Amino acid sequence: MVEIVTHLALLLLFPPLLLGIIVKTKALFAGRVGAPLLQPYSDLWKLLKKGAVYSRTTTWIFRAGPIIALASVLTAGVVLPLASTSSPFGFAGDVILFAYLLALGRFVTMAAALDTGSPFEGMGASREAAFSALVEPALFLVLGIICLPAASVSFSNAWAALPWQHWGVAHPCLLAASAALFIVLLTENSRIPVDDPNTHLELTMIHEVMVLDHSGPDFAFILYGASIKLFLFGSLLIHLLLPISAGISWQNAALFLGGQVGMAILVGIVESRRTMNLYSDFLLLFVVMLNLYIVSANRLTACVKASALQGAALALLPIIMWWNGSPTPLVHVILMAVGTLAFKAIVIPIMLARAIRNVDARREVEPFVSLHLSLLLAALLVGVSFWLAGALELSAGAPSRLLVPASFSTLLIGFLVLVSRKKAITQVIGYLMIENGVFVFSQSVAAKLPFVVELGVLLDLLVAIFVMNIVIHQINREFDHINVDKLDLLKG
Amino acid sequence: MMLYFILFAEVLLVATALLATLLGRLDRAALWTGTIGAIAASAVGAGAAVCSLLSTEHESLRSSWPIALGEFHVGMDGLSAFFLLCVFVVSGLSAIYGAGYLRAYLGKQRLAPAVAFFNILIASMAMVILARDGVLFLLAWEAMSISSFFLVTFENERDEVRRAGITYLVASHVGIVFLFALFALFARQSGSFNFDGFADLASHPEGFATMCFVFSLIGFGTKAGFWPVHIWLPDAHPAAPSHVSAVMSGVMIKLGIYGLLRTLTFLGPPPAWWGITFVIIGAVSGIAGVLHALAQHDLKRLLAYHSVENIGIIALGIGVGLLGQTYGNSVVSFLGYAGGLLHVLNHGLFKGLLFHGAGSVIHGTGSRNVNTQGGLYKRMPVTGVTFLIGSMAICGLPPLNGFVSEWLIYLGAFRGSTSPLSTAAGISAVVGFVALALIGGLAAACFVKAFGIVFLGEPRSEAAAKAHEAPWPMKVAMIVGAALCFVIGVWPAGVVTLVGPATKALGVDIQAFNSTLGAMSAISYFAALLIGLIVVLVLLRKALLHGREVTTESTWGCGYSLPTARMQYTASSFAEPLLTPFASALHVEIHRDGPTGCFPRTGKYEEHLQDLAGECVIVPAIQWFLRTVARLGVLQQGRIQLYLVYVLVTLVALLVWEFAGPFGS
Repeated sequence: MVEIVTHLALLLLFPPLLLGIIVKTKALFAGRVGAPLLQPYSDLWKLLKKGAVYSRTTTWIFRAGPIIALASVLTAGVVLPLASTSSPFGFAGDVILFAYLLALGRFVTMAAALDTGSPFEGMGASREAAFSALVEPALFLVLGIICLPAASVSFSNAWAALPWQHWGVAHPCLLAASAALFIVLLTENSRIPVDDPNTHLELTMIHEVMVLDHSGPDFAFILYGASIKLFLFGSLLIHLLLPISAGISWQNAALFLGGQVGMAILVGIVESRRTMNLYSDFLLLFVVMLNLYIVSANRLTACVKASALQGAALALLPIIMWWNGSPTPLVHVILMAVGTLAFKAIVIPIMLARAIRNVDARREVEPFVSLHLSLLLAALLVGVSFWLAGALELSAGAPSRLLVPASFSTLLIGFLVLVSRKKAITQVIGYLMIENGVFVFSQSVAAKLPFVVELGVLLDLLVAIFVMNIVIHQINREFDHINVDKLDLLKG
Repeated sequence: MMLYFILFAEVLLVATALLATLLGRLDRAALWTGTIGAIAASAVGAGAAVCSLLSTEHESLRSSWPIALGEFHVGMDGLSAFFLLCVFVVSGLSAIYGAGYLRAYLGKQRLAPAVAFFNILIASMAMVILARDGVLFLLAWEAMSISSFFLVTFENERDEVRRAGITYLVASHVGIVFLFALFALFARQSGSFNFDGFADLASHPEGFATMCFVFSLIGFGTKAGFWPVHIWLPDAHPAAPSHVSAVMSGVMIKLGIYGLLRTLTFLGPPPAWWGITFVIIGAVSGIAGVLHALAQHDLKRLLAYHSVENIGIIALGIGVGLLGQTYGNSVVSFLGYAGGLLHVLNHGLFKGLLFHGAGSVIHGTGSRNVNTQGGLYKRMPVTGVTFLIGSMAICGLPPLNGFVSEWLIYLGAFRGSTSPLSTAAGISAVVGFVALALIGGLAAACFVKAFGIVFLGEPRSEAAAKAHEAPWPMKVAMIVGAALCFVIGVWPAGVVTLVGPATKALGVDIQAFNSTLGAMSAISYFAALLIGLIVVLVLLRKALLHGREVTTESTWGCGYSLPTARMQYTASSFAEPLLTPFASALHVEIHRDGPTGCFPRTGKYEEHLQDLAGECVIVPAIQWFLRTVARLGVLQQGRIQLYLVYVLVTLVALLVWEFAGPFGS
């Protein structure tokens, strides 16, 4: 009895909160306070108290749509286990009933949309039909994978057979299933990047444009049904990812609710990807700051660490650019990120650190230009690069306004380091900064620049560092220091 | 005992057919005679089939007959009784419907042939199922093909109807050639045309079973409408009058399935590749069928392609059943066969219902083009509701009957993929599982389109605006059909009991059956829960809106207050997002002439879909055949003496072969 009451209470009361959490997350990312967490409940309450407006064109099918859709997701929720491995109402084969109940909800929503005779709603229904036809096999494959370890098409058996030992055995499979399920969740619940639940009228919309004509209690049913659907998909994901055990317990309840909240926050983060543009700007600013730090740093190890950090920041850059919707293929992006991270943040800094250890050089003493003056010059160069970027109108097509200036300033400050320092290690860091500048610039034209070019530059650099390393050793052995200005002694 | 009732129904059908023919020009009398005969025979036949399924006894009757070869040998086991039930239920409903539908032709066309051939079609279908002798089977099969040919060409003054009829006739006879070969093979092996003898064949020579399997697959597959030999189907079904389409699509093509299953019982334990072949055929037919259906704007053609899809689903079920049998897993085997067989009945019901609905639309508006309809729901509510129920049933949505059979096949395919069958079998079971899901999703898209564009929104033409509801016999048939879909959906345990004996006749251990019954009652509970929730929500909504302001406005058009019917989405625009990705694979010709400039005047979007199988398989095959045959043209010299020489040479050669050749006595 307790089980049944808990199940129904969770199913009926919790879902609207998820919508509140998503909206709140998005607001926080956009730097707003946002609506209160419980706003969806008051929205529903208000809608339930309103009257309704119906189109003259519609029949009872339009009125039945929201009702049958809500009834079908509720029934699906009764079948699905929530905060325990089994539902009090599960049976053998319930997985398929679950999927088909969701299909029933979709069918009646589309029929209700067509009942209005509106071009908008026809468009929404047509798109929904196309998406759901393609999502259906994905959903069934995921459900099939979930059911495999238990060899049973019922949620209770499937979840009971899916504790952590199976993550050990069938790990990649389940991980892929979780990822696919999350995409199915975003699609089925008409979330970004498939759909946008916030706007009702734009031509890109799918689900929201289908329910354009619904009002009052009908619309409340639709909103409530949508939140339950999100909740159900969240439950599937949680059971796949979190160790929820059999029976009712506080631990289970905490994991389940925590998981739901986490899922809602994740959806919110995914939807905030437009505001993620800020991150690329932050990253670029960070790169420029590191330039200034390298110029002003006295200790060689600090310079190497800063350049390693710059390498790591640059590795993140293509990923964030991709996230923001750059057209570069994902494989390309991953290769670029991994390559940059490996060379610029790990291999080269380690080699430099070893060189420093070997020759026991600690500080950049007596540079050609004093550290304070070079910092001033560097700041000037940053200003010049902003002016240059503006004058060249290169930023116009770039994904971020900061890309081109950041690349120029990194490049120019790299030159500054090259000309103003004596130690071979700082010289290498200067070359590295120039390469970093080229890398940042390549990001503004990433789609057009073949990856091969980038790889070639990186390879040149690597060879250069090898040579430098040997040279450093040689100088050190011959002259007992590594200042390059003594190299002119070698001339005949 | 029940066999005699069925035979009585047969006699009744043939007698009323003859009587209707004799009544000749008295169209009204002929119509009533035929209809009453068909309804009475169907009632008797369906009742007897149910009794036979419940009592599960085998009956047979033999008597000699004056024709060379074979004998009159009929029998009834679980498989026959189940298919008889399908035949009589769908035919009975269609007979009622036909009484209303054909009245529109009174005075325009002679009705006696239509009525008589309809009854002969039912009788021959029942005889195909009853026959236990090869020659009797082929005779009944041919009678079925011929009578349905005459029904297809009922409106033979139309050019496309005549063409469809010829295509159908040719396809039927290409199919039957393989059946002749099949039965000849059997007879040669067992010494007679008796089915009992076929079944008792202790050992087959090497390759015999394979050859029989391939022949039956082509021969019966042509009738069933497997891809790519389905090409006659989308032409013939729309050409026939709607109640005939319902019978042809609902049950006649299923006799291809019956023939396949019956042949399989003769061939002993199936090797794994048979099951895999069935799964592949099922997946391909299902997906190709539903994709072609999406692009159709002729309502009946759309439904015809859905028959290809549903035959695919049935083949998937049979494939899973065969795989279970190969590996001795009776649960998988039962689930697959039961799902496939139940889908035979279910498809008969909802496809019959949908063709009846399409007939009512044609009756009410005079057009089969989906794009000229719209808003018919308000003008023909009974057709609308029943068509909606049929659409939801064919998409496999709960709580209707399509869900039950697809659920069984899903379960069977899943069990098949987890049980330790071979890798290939496991993979094909997974293929079945996923194909079924894709088919389900696409079918839903297609039927939202079909129902939504035809019945909802505003009328797109004058004819649609003036549509009228169907007369009462048509309404009765549709309501009963929809009610049966609903009853099976909410009470599947009852109908699964009827499938049990049929699967037993296929050699499946019946133990597995009991374990499914529990889950069947769970489906009933959840159907009840769903309906209960709907009722509660309806009452809640009523209570909420009580005393509040409920107004009626025109549809919201972003502030535009003068919407016209032409602004609505059409069937073409609805299907566009789904067809575009498949365009290259499907040979969809898309003509897009989008609006340009700030004040666009015109814009056009058209798509045409050629049948992929027809274009890429059948037409090249026929062309190759014609080219090959043309080489025999040298024999045709136009001189009678030369032809007589041919006859003489052949005769002598045959005599020599018979008495001196390898088979000489």
